[in-house]
Amino acid sequence: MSLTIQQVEKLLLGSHKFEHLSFSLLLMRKKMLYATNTSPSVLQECAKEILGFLEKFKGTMSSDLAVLEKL
Amino acid sequence: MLKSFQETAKLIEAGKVLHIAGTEALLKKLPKGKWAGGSTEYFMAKDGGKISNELLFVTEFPYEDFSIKTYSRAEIENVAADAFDNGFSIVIIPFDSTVHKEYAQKADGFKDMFMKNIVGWISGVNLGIPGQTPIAVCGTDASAYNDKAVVLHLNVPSDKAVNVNIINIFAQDESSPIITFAEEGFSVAKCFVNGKETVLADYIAQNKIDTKLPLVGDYAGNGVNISFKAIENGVVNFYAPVFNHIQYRIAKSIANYEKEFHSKLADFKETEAAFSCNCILNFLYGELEGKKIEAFAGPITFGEIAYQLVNQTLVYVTVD
Repeated sequence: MSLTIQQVEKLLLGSHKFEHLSFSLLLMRKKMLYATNTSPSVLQECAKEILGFLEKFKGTMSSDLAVLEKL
Repeated sequence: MLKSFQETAKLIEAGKVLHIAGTEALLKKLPKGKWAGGSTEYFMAKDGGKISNELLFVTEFPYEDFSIKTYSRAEIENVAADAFDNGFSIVIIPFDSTVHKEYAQKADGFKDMFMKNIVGWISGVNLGIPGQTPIAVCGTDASAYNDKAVVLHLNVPSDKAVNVNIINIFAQDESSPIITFAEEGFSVAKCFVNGKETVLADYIAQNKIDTKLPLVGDYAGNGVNISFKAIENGVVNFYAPVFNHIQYRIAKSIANYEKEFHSKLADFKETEAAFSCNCILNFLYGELEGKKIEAFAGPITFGEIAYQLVNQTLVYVTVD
């Protein structure tokens, strides 16, 4: 599972719903950070953490992956 | 499962890795060993909800690689960084301590918080007995703390997968307005109701809101509950902090707690939780004493941790 930087930004600015608890919690944290500072460096940092999460936990995310693939 | 003091002491002396919940007095008398514990007198046992100052709820883990660490307010930010990559950590924090407040307000920003599997609970007291102190205990030196968290970090074999999840019987009442906050924390005076600045205590009174129902925050599809504690002098106090980037609504009302739990739990009949805990408010408001919540036995707690602090929620870990 990989997302482009544009897809991560879409995720951070959108209102997508997920089942995976820790992904939802992580995403809300990152959305808050990006809402307060929309600089490219913050976006890169958010992307790094989200992609790191997906790399580690994609096997447990089942139906949520479909939402991410549609970004 | 629930065990006597002697049975628990025997397991400790046999060198088992244990999580133990029980009264402050019992925990302080247990021998040193490979265990971490916290205070509560409320339990969900296999045969139903129980209040006991004589029994301890003991969970044994088959993992040889573990560590038990204590964390002050200043150190708690390291809790997830210290956790094993493929394992889980059980965090026990004394109610109303500075480390409780620090964790509640900042856990989502701690390093590696969502890259590790972090669960836990807030320890408490018997609500009917004055003079008790919520504690967390580090069994390796049998030291009890009312101002530090004690964490049991467990490393799980690499062929096993750990999953942390919650069972929340509450959902946002979609017909109620969205409530947001400019102030963050355990106590607030004002909020925004559908964008209009409002005194929250007045809103609750005027709309006859049942404060046994939590606020449910929308976390990208997952509901996270914030329970009402008290309303004093126009200030609303909660059992967990509200945040200004989250949209809340009052929960949909529930006619029958026990029925609602069983209905939610129908999907989890085959689940074998390695650890679980449930909220004292579910126990009290749901009158769960003597009533079974199948599949999920464990301590009844004064706040639950599923990465961050949640309320009125069952938290569990599976290892498959």
